[in-house]
Amino acid sequence: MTPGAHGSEATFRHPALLYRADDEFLRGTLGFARAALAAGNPVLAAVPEPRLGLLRAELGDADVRLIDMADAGRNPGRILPFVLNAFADEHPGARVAMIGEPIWPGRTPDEHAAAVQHEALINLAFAGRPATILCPYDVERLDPTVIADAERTHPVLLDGDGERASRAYADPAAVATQCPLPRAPADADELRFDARALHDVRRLVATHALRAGLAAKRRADVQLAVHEIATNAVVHGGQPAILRLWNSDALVCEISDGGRWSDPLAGRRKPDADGVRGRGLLIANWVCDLVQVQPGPNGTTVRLHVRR
Amino acid sequence: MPEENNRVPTLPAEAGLRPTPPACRALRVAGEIDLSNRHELDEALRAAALLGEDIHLELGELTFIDVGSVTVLVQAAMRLPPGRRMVLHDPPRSLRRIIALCWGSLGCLEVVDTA
Repeated sequence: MTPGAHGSEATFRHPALLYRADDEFLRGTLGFARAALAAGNPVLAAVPEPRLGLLRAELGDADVRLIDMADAGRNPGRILPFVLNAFADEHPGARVAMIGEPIWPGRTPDEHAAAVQHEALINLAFAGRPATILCPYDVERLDPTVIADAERTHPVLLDGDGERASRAYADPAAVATQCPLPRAPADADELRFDARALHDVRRLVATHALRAGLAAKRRADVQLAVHEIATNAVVHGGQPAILRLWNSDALVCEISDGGRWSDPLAGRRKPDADGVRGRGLLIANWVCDLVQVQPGPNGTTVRLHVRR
Repeated sequence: MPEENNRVPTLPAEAGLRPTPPACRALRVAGEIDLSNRHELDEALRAAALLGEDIHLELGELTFIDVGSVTVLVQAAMRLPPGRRMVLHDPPRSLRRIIALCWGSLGCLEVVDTA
């Protein structure tokens, strides 16, 4: 395995590391991290346990930022603004080396779809920037369809045989707009709203959040998140704006509007470079356990999941 | 809704006309602020900025403020000339959180808690 996935060139590199078992994971990630450290480049590794512990044990006192991806990246929408972009922004002018494992066995189908969008968006967010993001995928324990998605979102693949271009690599802007959403349940609570009814939106969310057993702080958080997406809907989206709420394993709040999704990176970049619409989505990404965005020709649907 | 603090004679409309001791001047912002009344906050802050002093906001009774309205507030603070700042008294947790997430720390903004 030769993860020479970083260098002095100014281009962005985004290889997938298709590993079998811990030894291949360690060989690929440690080789990458140590080469970057030797070159004086800042290194971050965001992976879930138990592999985070493996890296910690091997890297010892090396200057590597270690982050538990199962926590920081539980909502895949958080990874770009709060993990990858945040680290790159801390090191202006440097070539950053980042390991990000956003998909692991146990991810729900909804989370997986959002993580695929996130992987596609990485290519847009870092295009032309001096960075390498190495994404490990556990080929033994992940479904083959998950690996097929990794081949669509990564231009380069690394495995035990070496490095190769991914023939399945697809236009990231197209992949980023694909978000299959299961239909909302028929008995979901529904509210049609306009700019004058945002108070009603917040009140209905508060009622459902209380019923779902959320603590007071979480209720305030979800109320703000839904309000922001609802405000975007009435300001940018056009009619009809509809709020649907239901309870499954989480409180789910869905906002649909008649507008086109114009900026695939909204809510995923450094906030002061972003518009107000992006700030609202950024807040939603921070607050929620999962944010699904489904752009379509006739409108946009955003679905927010908040667990207790 | 932004409204006058009972210790403040004239904010926002005629604020510049009746000078009051700086220590007493504060704008009380209470209730819910969103798209529907954001412009009132903006107008009140623009009027307060004309006083040529720090802007004090009493926010202890603010129950909801959205990101767009916090943006109005932050932009008003950023418009202040060097040496002047905006002081937020007892802001709700959500407001602090929005500022921390979207702007980080701002030199022109200070947070003060009574309790």
